[in-house]
Amino acid sequence: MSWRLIVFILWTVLLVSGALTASYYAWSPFSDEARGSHAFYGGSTHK
Amino acid sequence: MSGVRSVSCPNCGGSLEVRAAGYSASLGCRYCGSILDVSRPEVELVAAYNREATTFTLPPGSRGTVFGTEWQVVGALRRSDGEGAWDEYLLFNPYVGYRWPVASEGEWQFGTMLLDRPQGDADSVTWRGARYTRAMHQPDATTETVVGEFYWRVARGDRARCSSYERGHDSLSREESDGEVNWTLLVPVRAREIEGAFGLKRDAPANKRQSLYVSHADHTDDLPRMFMIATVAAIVVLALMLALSGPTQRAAAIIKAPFGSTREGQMIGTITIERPWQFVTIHAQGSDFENRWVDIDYSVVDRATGQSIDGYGLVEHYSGRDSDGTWSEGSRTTKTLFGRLPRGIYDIYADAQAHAWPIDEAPQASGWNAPEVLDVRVEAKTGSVPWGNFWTLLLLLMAVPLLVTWRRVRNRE
Repeated sequence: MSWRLIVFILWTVLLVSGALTASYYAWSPFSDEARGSHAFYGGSTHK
Repeated sequence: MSGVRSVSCPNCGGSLEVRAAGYSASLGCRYCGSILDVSRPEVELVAAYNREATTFTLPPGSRGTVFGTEWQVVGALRRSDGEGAWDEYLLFNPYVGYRWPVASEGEWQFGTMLLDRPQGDADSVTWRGARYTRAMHQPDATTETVVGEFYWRVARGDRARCSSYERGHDSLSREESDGEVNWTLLVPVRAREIEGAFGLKRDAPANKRQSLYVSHADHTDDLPRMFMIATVAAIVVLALMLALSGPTQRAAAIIKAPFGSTREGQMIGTITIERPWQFVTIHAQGSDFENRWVDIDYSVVDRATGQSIDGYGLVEHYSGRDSDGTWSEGSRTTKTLFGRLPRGIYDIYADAQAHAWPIDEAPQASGWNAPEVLDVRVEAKTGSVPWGNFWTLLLLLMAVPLLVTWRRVRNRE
């Protein structure tokens, strides 16, 4: 087993652990609950 | 070719020849395997062994013409890496120097030691303008058998750290032992050519094993394993994410979005978070409007604490016609994701206001003197899967093997 493969396995374990922890705690960097209201310019951007 | 010097093995008394006299430093006795020092007039025994004579495909002393040059086999090594063994031969021509044919699994490669070192790092090197990519893991090579003469102090049990860099069918072999690094260019040569050059019979195979420098790299290629590990990890994570997301509860209502004012506190419904933490998504689906947009402010209120977690949604759709033809943009649906909601009972409220484009004034409904109101269907749901998390994970998992693949393809172009 090459060092590169070992490092990749460690990387995979890290990602999987992080993803499962995030799922358990219902955390996502893409969640919208922190967005402020009325901070949007409405209307078409078509020119 | 060069001067031949006859010596006797101090261990077994066997009669030996030094064919590259003046160049060779070590001689492996072909009768007993003992290592002799032949660099000086008097032969000295370096290491005594008593074993049966080892046969090599190319016996020391044999001659042949390869790539237009006549060579004499002066030495042969049998080396192993714990998985198999292969043979390396030292060819000598006093006008050209040394070359290294390597026989493994019936395949041959012709090695030329490099005088100009490749430059690069652990992953790839550049030699004479060509980039070579590192092959996969290669274990250390150990010298098992020594027969014939060599221009350095050779001994059984010598270990060398090997690495190989490939470009197409050619490869650069790097060997490091005792702090000394040697590079060799290995090009494939047909077995038929070697057999014809040295007058070998067709059925005289070398040691059967994967080729050290070509096939071995493929044999231990970790790229397919990386893809497999990444795929399995992604599937496992997806399954666990689905398992951790539930259970699912829904609450839905149609809210009114008037123009010119905000209708506040419209109740969507009540949902219960049953796990310690859960995601909640709120979907909004606007009615069949055109050139309108609706701002929706959500409040997810914890009944136990009264704390509100706010979010924002927007449904919009515009269309028109210009010199390029008809156009449209926007979406009448939107999704808002709420994360980190602890266990509890939540009431969902929405404030909504509609707008018109390009002039944001309240349009009048035909036949009535009341402002138009847009209907928006809103549904809140627990047990959502954060797909952004999953796609990010998949991207990070696949990035490494894809990067390795890209580098290989680029280097072989």
